[in-house]
This record gives sequence, C-alpha cells and structure tokens, in this order.
Amino acid sequence: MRRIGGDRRLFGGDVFEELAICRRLLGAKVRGQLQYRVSFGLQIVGNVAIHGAELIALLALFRTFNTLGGWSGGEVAFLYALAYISFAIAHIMATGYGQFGRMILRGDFDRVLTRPINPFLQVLASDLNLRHLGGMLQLIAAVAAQARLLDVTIEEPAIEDIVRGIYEDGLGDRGADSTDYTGGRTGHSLSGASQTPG
Amino acid sequence: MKPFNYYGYWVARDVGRAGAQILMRGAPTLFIGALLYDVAMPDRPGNWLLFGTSVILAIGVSFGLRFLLNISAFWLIYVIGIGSLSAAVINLLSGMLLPLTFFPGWFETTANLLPFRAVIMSPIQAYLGQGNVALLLLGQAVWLVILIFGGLGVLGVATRCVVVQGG
Repeated sequence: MRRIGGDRRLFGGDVFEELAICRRLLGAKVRGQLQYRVSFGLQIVGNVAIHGAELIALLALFRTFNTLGGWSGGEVAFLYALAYISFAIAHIMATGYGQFGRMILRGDFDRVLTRPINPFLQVLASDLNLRHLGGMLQLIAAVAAQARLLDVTIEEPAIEDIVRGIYEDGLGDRGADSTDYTGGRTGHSLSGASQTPG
Repeated sequence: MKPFNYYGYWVARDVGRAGAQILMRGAPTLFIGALLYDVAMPDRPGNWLLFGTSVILAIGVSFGLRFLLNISAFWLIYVIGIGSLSAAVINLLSGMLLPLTFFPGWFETTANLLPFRAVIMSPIQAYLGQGNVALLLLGQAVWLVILIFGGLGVLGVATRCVVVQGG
C-alpha cells in the first residue's frame, strides 16, 4: 500500500540508508549549533541555572519541613533529578517532535511529505536541542551524589524487571506477569532500587 | 523608525498581556480554588485595594525588568541563553518557586534588597496582610520608578547606537 509521503521505503530495505541520512542531518545541526560558541555556552549555562534554582528551592523547602509525605529532601532531589534525566534524553533525541505541532501549523510538514524519505526520520532529524545536556549532566551528578548519600543501590534484577516490564507493555501484553516497576509506592522504596537508611 | 512612542508601545502591549492573564488565568483559578478549599482572603475591603495596587505595581516592575533584559538584544546577539539564565534568577529571587521566607536568613535579606521580590513576593504579602504593607508598596514604587527611568535611559542610548549604525 502506498501512502502519501515517502514511507513506502521504510520496509523496503533502505532503512539503513535513511538512518545514515538522518544521522548526517543531525550532525549538521550539531555542528551548526557549535558554530555559535558563546550562544551555545550561554544556553547550557541557562539550562543549568534553571535546574540549579529548582534544586535550591527544593532543598530550601526541606529546610523547613524535614519530610513531606515520608520522603526526605535528599530522596525527593534524587527522584527529581532521575525524572529530569529521562526528560532531557527525550528532549534531546526528539526535539523535532517537540516542535511537530508548530511544523504542521506553519505548513512545513507538507514539504516533508513531498520528499522521498521517511517522514518520521525527517521530523526527527529536523532539530536537535543540545542545551538540555547542561541540566542533564548536572542532574546525573546530583543523582550520583544523592545515591551515595542515601545509600541507594540499583539492583541488577531490578533493571531487568524494568526492561522486561517496558518490553511486555510494548507488546500490549499487559496483565500477564505484570511487573511492578513503580516500586509499589510503599514506604520509601524507590523505583527499581532498594535502600537502607544511611 | 515608526512614528510612535516605542516605550509606550511595549507598555501598552504588556498591560494588555497582564490583564488578559489576570482575567483568564488568575481570577478563575482563584475562584475555583476558593470554592474547593478554605482560602485565606484579605479580611477588610481596604486590604483588597492595597493588594490591587500591589499587583499593578508588580506588573510595572515585571515589565521594567523584562524591558531592560530584552533591550540587551541591541548589544548582545545571543538572547536565548540570557533569557533562561534570567528566568532562573527571577524564579528563585522573586519567590515564585518558593516563598522567600523559607530560605536561609542571608538569602532572604539579599532577595529583599533586590527588585525581583516586588514581582511576586510583595503582592502575596499584601494579600495576606503580612508585615508593613505600606512599606512593601513603597518598595515596589521605588523600584518601578528606578526601572522606568533606567529603561528609558538605556533605550535612549540604544536608539542612538542604531542611528549611528544605520546612518
């Protein structure tokens, strides 16, 4: 079946060629951003500052209230940072899809559809926002520091469970052997992690 | 250069923006919140008046700050980074993320000396009737005057630069 747009080749065997094009387009985007060094640096610094401000406010809050709903400031900071890291990965990898709505509104998606390359990859390659790298590195450091302070250990079987859970969810095989990768929200147990009071 | 007052143009735009935000986002949220929860209200009509005055001053100060920030684009070509950097500073020092009273004493003292608290913290304290409201309003008014004159002054310098470049 042929659809409007170029996705006829997606299953036709040229996926690797299209991925290579996608990679080259993204590479050009990255080089383009790195050309304006001051701008790039300031964007990174700005991103770090925003998350720094939020972390400071969070810790200041826990100065007054030692715990909120049984969670300590360090634990909330750990979860905040962990949540942001996945958010940042999504933001960096799929910047194009962050602006997809605007792209359709402006009529730019029409241009994408006329090209003989898979539209999904084209939109994906249309932009790459590296400024979230700043906040991401900062919060990876925060997660590492908190994990040390809180004595959090991420067990390997836990990771396996998470992966299996996502995999089974993806297959639409819910219900069967439902893996509880939310940690059950009981007490202090963190997602896929066990901890002892440190 | 278009034949209108540049500063007045941006003031008018921003007052319209702020008014729409109050009517469409602020007031309904407050109303629904007041229906669902036990919300603390200013106890006397006079306090509502003080709160209203404080909000108007806050809009002015907020505009003054953002005008100075945006006008830096005349000299700096990279405004995006400055924008997020200043958003972080304003969020933290205005009491937007967390009321300033939760922070350590030295932080609160520093924030009280800066104009940012006039944007969020002062109207909230006027609403709650905390502290000396007259002093709060005076502080906001002083910052408003400083920022207006600062903005106009910088704008004067900026337009002269543009004329030199364009000529």
